[in-house]
Amino acid sequence: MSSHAAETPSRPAAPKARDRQLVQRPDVLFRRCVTGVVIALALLWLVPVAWALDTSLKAEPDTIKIPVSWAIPHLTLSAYSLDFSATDIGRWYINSAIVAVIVTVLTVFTASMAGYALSRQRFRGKPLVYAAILAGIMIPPQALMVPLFREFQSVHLINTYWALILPQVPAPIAVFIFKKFFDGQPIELDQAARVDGASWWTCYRRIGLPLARSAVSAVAIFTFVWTWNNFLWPFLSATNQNMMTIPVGLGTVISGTGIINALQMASAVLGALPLVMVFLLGQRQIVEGVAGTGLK
Amino acid sequence: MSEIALKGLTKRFDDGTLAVEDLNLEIGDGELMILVGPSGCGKTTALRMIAGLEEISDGELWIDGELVNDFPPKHRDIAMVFQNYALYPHMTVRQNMSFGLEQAKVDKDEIARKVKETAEILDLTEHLDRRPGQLSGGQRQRVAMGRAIVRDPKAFLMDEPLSNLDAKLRTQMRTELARIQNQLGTTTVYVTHDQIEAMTLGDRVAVMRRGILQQVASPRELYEQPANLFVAGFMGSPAINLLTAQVESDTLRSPLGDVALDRRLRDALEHGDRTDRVIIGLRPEHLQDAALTERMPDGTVTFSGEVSVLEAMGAEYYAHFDLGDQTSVSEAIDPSHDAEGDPVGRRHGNDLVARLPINSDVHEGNSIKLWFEPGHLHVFDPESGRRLTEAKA
Amino acid sequence: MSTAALPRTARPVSRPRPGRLRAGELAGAGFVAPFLVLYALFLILPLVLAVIMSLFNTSLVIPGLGTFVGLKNYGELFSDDYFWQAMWHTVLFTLVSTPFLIVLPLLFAIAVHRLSHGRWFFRLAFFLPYILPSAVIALIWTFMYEPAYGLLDGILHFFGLGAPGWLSSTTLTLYSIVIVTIWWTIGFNFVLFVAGLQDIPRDLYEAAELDGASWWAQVRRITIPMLGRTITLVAVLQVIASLKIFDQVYLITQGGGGPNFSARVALEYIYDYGFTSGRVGYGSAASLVLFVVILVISFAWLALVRRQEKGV
Repeated sequence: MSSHAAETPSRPAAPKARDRQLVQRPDVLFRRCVTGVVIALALLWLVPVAWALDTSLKAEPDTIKIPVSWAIPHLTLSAYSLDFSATDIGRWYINSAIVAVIVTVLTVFTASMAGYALSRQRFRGKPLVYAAILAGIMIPPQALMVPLFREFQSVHLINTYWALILPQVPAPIAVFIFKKFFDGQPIELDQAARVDGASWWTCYRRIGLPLARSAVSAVAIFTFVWTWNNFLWPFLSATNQNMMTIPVGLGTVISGTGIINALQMASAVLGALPLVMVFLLGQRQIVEGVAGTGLK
Repeated sequence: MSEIALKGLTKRFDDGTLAVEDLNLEIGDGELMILVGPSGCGKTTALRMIAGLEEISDGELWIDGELVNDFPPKHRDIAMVFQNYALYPHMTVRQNMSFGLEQAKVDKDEIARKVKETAEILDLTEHLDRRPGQLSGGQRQRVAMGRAIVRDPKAFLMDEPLSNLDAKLRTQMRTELARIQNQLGTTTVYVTHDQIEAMTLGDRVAVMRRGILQQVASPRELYEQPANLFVAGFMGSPAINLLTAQVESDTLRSPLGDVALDRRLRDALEHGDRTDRVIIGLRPEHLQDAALTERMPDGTVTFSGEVSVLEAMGAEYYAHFDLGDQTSVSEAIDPSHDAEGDPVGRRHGNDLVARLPINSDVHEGNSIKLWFEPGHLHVFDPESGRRLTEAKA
Repeated sequence: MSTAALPRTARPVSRPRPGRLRAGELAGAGFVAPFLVLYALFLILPLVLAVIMSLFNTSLVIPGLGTFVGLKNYGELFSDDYFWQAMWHTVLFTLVSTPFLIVLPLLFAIAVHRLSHGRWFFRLAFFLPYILPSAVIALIWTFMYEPAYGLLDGILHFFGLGAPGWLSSTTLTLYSIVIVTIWWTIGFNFVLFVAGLQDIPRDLYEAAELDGASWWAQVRRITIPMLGRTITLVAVLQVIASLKIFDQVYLITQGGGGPNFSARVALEYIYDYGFTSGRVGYGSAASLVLFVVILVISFAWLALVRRQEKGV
């Protein structure tokens, strides 16, 4: 063998190449398997949502058939129309939209201003303010619902938009994100604007904020999603059907309407719809936002 | 009429470091004043105090006859060109240039007119609707200039505006900048660490070191009559040769040979604190090739040395000579020697440089005979670094 | 000229004009003020109120603080078996769910990370549930868990297995909720891990490849060590989130805390006493205990991160 190989210089290369393939084979195969498994799991992950969608399109009697089946014998949207007539879901949508939009705007506005000041301006007590904000990140608001409720109860603001909106605005983490972002921006831009005669406000509005687009969109999307989804506080502060947001309203559907499966699943789909849209539109910002907040 | 006056301007940072100490400087109307010095010398801090970006710890700042210490930048009516241009990346060139005028609430048509005019001066007209990201380095630099010019401010403040350009473009923009400044006649304070830029651009140059002003003078005066060792060493390239010399009755014993004390040198020594030892300085161009000289003037000093390194610069040679240890100058002469970035220290202490014409017959390793006129010698006090000699008569 | 000279000489008189540079100070304060006001009103004030009210027998239906009871609320709290039960459920929930919520998304992320296309699909599949409201999750899963005609029982039935009573068994209910939570929140960690993986320089893998390291060796020797910080972060965020669990438990058990309170968690206990029974003072005391636990874990994490950073 070896004498053979020595005679023809091209020969030794061939078994070598095969060797390498042999080494790689199980690796490639392994990777394929892994990919296959993860695809299967991803599909499995979509089953509950798909099942909800499937059920919501069935006629009610078909939802309690045994054995369970994905087939839809009579495709109907009746569950959806029933949802709008039997529950206040339209109203809840409006409330959720009002609350989520206003909270988002106020959060982006107040947090970016505070972050900007902490990053750019010099003022007395700044280290203290920053420390307070860092400490604030640790405060779990959910653990403070009882006193917060009492606070609003004592000023008779339960069941108002004030109660739904204001406590959701101060998010120290958002200030932190903005500060970090502005820290990464060249300070000369603001200085140039200041020398150009701009006030702090103009610097923030014309230079700082427009350049912070990516931070703004990440914070905005997250605040919107969190606020839209927030359950505990709206659940406590909006006991009146007219003031309920989607999650709170849907909570009453779970226990309230008797058991109408198609209706429940239609409610789930309707409740999910705005967020699925936000997700599809802002996928990139959401993913970058998670990464950005998480890694620092 | 916009002169700028700095009276005892001082910047003390929170940690107690003195960035600028008791800076007195008057910049006349329409003058181009250069602040030059090694990095960390306080020149940029001084500029930023004038701009209002840095609080003034002590002293007074007058712009156009007004005490502006407590004015925020927007009330000082000055324009600044930043080292990295600081162009607003989200705005077009036009918007960048209009921004300052908008802040001053200038009428829209007026803004459009001014921007158009300025763009023409700077050859930016076709780029007005582009964003900074789409421009080349030179174009960005011109936009930064345009943003300052368009406002027609009381003064321009420029913080190393050319340092981000490549060498060729820098020379080109330097000429351009001098022309524009001259044409507009706007008072300008220009910060740079590049002594060549300082020499070629300024009406007057202020040399700073460690927060302290060393000398303010015309470029020529700085070069020919440096106030001290630092200025002498900072201005000029290759740097001035600085050597220790002993004084012995009527003779100055230098590594380059003995120099008979004439009246000028004698006067100089009388002003000094020490009489036994001084630092002498000699510009590389004042060392001449004896082989190329037909008749040496009277009183010249000749010196023979072996060329250790020869740099051919095209039109001339830089010939280096190794003088050996005993003449080591830099650290020995200057107790307050800068750790880094100090041009005095950058030169090897035992290295002597001569600028010789290209027709000199010099080769590395060969010996050559040089001469110089004692009248070109600067004498410095070895303790304070102060120049003791008067200008050459 | 002479008229111009007058104001010039007059100006220095007005020199101590403190308003001018202070304007910068004011701007800074003005910029943080809106946030700080809201922060003080809705994060700090409730915290202070909680401390105060926990010392009183404040009631939901009676205005005012009520009477001072000292540490009696805390005494009652610590001697209440139901409180410890709820705390234990919370801890159990955390202990059971956290490993899954770290290991699964990490494995998913590693598997997905090096795929050249189709990553959006995995993001959709794994992350989509995370952004859905808890109520939607509860609606979907209550139906999934429905005895007999629910999808899960349907599948078990298909394989000839009996129905385990997902939400009716005292032993299973909490675990059913763990399953829901894993499904629901895995996406967040998944995305964090994917982002962390992207920060690992490619040439490390190339170097390992040249050194002949297998895929698994690369995962073990490069990926996991390099992800150290992300893993700690995910773990702590996960633990903190688990301690605050309420929504899905409350909604899925329809406010009952599961059969015989077998799934009642800490926040639900607080809710039951602070709101349903109207004992605000007592509820505040319970809130503070939970608050302190979460805070301690947060700071422990900070200390850990500091140490990790120093070590690197």
